Amino acid sequence: MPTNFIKAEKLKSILASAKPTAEKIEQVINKALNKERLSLTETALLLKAEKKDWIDKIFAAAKKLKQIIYGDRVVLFAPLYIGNKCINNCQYCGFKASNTEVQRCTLSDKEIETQVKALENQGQKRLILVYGEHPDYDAEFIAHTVKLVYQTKEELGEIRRVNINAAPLKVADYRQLKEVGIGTYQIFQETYHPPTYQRLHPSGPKADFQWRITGLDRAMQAGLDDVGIGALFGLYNWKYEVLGLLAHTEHLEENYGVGPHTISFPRLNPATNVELDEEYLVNDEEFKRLVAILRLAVPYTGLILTAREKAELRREVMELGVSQIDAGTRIEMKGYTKTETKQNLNKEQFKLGDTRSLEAVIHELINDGYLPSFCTACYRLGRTGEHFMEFATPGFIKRYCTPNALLTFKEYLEDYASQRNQEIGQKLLKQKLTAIKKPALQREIKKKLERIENGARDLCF
Amino acid sequence: MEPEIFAFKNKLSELIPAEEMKVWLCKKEGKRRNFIFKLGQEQFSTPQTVAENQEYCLLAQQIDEQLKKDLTAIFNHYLERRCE
Repeated sequence: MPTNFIKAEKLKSILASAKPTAEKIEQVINKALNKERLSLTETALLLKAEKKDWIDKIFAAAKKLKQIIYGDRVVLFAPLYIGNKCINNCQYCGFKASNTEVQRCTLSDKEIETQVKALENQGQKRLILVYGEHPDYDAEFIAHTVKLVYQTKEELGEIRRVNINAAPLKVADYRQLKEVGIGTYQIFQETYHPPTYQRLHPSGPKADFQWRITGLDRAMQAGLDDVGIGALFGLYNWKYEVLGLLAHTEHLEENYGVGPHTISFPRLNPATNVELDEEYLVNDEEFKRLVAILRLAVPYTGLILTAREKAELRREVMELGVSQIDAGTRIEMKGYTKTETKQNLNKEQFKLGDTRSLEAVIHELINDGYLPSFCTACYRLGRTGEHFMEFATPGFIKRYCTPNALLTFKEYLEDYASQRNQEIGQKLLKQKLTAIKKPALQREIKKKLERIENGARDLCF
Repeated sequence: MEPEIFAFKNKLSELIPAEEMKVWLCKKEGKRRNFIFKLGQEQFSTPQTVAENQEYCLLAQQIDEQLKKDLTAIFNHYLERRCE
């Protein structure tokens, strides 16, 4: 298995030699609309498309592809910071070891339970647990916290899927996490450009580019076939980073038969004691382009848009291909039990752009015609990894994802929705149910919705 | 694949018509069900749990009650000792 699959010179040369024409762009877009993954060379053509009408075509195609594959669903989740101790010195991060102003904290079991209950009381069903890189946060500790989260239930509330964002581990460590039933294991490479990586990660285990880039290979070797990749945009040339993400995807597909479950593309934001180098900062227009191009390049990979971005921009970018967003996000330690929404950067990793509540985000989604989803069915029914690839068809979305989104949204409306969301949410449910063309499926969904009204929970297709 | 799972799959393959139904075996890991193998084709219908023990669960689509009983018996025969 090759470990040096990120070849900077090759990626640069692909970018340099890409010479887009209207005809070539049309061809690449048509391939993407046929739901085929794009190659590095094809993606480079889209990245080099600078003319306004070409960019408009890319945006239009991304919106169309999103509709074909994902429909109106948006999957919601929340991050929960478990510990911010860290022995790395990432130059852009508020939690870097050298930052003595940040207040360090690791949640106790009791504190984790309290935070999880607060999240359950909002209606959250999917969490991503976030850990700094520190000897205290070893596989045993992570496994313990995952079990604790799954066990914590508040009335009808429960967390049904726990994803992890943590440091790269050894194969045996991943096995330990596999046993406790994690969802996705997420490792962001931050930048796929080795010299930039070296400069920005001067010390700590994260200084080793190779150890990090092969982190998900070890996860796959341990049997964890549900992994997420990401780049922190703003550290290096954004077009190069898109190719880096794609090269990583190709590597996982070629070697393990399954690509990443999700791709994240956070943008660099201010943090305490962090001076940002502005050379590579990505503006809003470029950000929209990179999301649209990623959508076209990897049609069946989930794209995650985080609350680092402002609400208005999230709304705009969502239609370009995003399938998951976090909502009601608090990144301050113990933040879900605090009433103050103003951020204190001495306690947080970076500045958030969207600090709205889950209720407010759902309100906007409903008004925009999106179907909020808390679905966790696939990984609890063995529709994962290699098996999941069988379902990567629009038919699957219609038969499973939309119905499951309807069921989980109904649960939300029954148990947690505000009065205003109740009213518009029930109308949305009716509209979406009517839009289901197959009468038998519509009847089946209707029956399950009635069962939910009568108290049943956690139904799925 | 471990020998008993391999034998279990072989036995199931005698009973599952490829185009009319689908069964798949998963390993239980917390709330996750990790896919091990499948027989038959996706039916695009609601999956049901046919049989399970502490370690494994067998899911299926479009199977009748009699076949469900047969599959449960085979599951118990081949995978029973795994949960001891």
